[in-house]
Order: sequence, then C-alpha cells, then structure tokens
Amino acid sequence: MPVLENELREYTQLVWQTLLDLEVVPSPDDPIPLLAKDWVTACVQIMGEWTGLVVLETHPDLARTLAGKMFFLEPGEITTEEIKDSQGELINMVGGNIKALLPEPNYLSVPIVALEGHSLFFPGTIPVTQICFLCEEQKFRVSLLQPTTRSRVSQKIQSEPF
Amino acid sequence: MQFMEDEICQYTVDIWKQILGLEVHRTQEEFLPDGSEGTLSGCVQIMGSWDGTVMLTCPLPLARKAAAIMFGTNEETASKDEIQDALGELANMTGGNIKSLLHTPEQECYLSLPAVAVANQHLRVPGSEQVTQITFQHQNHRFVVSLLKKAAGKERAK
Repeated sequence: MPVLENELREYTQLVWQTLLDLEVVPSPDDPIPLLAKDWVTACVQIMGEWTGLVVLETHPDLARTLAGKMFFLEPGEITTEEIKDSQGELINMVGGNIKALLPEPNYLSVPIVALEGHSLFFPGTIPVTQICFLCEEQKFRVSLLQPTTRSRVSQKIQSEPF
Repeated sequence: MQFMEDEICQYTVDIWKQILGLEVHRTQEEFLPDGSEGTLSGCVQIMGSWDGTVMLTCPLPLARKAAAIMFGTNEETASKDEIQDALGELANMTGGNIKSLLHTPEQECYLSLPAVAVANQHLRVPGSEQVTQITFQHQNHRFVVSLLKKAAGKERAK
C-alpha cells in the first residue's frame, strides 16, 4: 500500500499552486522509468524516527518552465543555476510538508539536484509511493523512497571481513 | 587549513586501505573529469547539530575497481548496481566517520542514505557552500572528497 499517497499528492498540488500559480493534476499513466535518464532529479532526505527520501523527477523542458515561473525569467534568460535552485526549492517545500507529518525527532536534508542528463540513484532503497502529474501538458513525478535492508555491499563487508 | 582537512585525509586513506586494500595519498594535482571515461559522485548528508554534505567524486574506472574488490568480481564484469553500491558505501563510511566528530552532547547528528549520480560534474547541492575539497590519488586515478556546509541564512522548511 502506498505510503502517504494522499498527502504527497495534496502537498505537491499546494506547492505548485502557491509558489508558481500552476495547476497540476495527477496523471493516470506512469510511463517514466524510475529515475529516468535525462530528466532533472532533485531529492531531500528525512532522517530520524522515519527515514526516507522525497524525490522529484521532471522533464527537462518542464524544469525550465518552472524555473522561469519561479524567477520571473524569459526562456532565453534561464540558466542551469535557476533550474537547480527552483528544483531544489520545490522538493524542499514538498519534503518539508511531509516531514511535518512524521514523528519527531526528524531532520530534513538540504536538497541535492542532478542536472544535464545526469542520473541519480539511491542504493538500498525502494519506491513506496509514486505519483505522476501533468503540468503545462508535461509530466513530472514525485516519489517517496524508503530503505530496504542494508546495501548488498554492507552485508558483504559484515559477512566477509576484508 | 580547510574544515576537518586532516580528519578527512586520515579517514579516506584508512577506509580505502582497510576496506579495499588500496593505497591512496593526497595530491595537490587537480582532478579534472575526463568526459570520455565518465565520473560518478556519491554523497551522504549530515543533519542535526551540523548540516552538510560529504561527497566523493571519482572516475568510473576507479569506481569499477572498488566495486570489483568489494564484490569479489572482475572489473570487467562489475555491474552498474555494484558500482553504485560500492561508491555509495565508500561515501557512507567517510560520512559516518566525519559525523561522529560533529555531533554534540545536546544534539545528535543523523547520516542520510547515500545517493549516487552518474555525472561529468559534481552533484549540485543548492543552498550549500563548499568548505573542504581534497584530491587523492591511487595509481593513475585521482578522486575528490568534498565537504559542503549548509549556507548561513539558508534555513528552509522546519
């Protein structure tokens, strides 16, 4: 069963509405491969009584549109810095709202962002909730990931000391 | 002197020696990613009494070598997942040691799960500033360990 699915959907819509004045609607299909290459990926982590990641994957064209809306820039004025900052701020706000629902103590990390076709991976985690949205006729996805067991290499180090 | 410079040097040398059996040493030479061979960045984040990011950036061939040693396979057959796991684990061990020096009696520090990016540049960490960057060398490979601190005035959602 998806974790915090309703909350993740509502907070995403709320952040896009209040920060960017954009309506977003859940998309019934989910054609994006997990952590799709060439998409912009941003994440924050929540650590404490509850541990997990909140991940935003955005089509590069939409990421540019969102940056322009956030910083009031024309398409030709937008640099990777604005895309990086806007993606970081969006996932920080969604993650901050999710964090507030979780038992204390917990901490929210600073965001990390992978741009320019870079792929971002989270070893030892699985997605527990994934919601695809449509915004300005383009897709983005917000996911919650939680740790599985320890990573395979941790288990190997534990069982076979070097 | 950069923030925790000596400690990062010592931990990095020790981890690569003890976990991988590889000799690494600090170098003043610059790490310039070669676009032809690919670069990976592994990072963990520290949260609590000190907020920041520990990042390990290395060329793909060196990450592949580390994975082969960790998983007991050949460099040629090390899988993408094994390479990502290995780099994440190296970042995790480095970050875990640094975290242990940063927590205070009043407030603990938490270490995040590792994230790994396949990139030809460093991962971006908006709202953070680099406080330490040290380049290491193993044979003909160079890699970088960086520490980024959440910038003052960048307090975000609580």
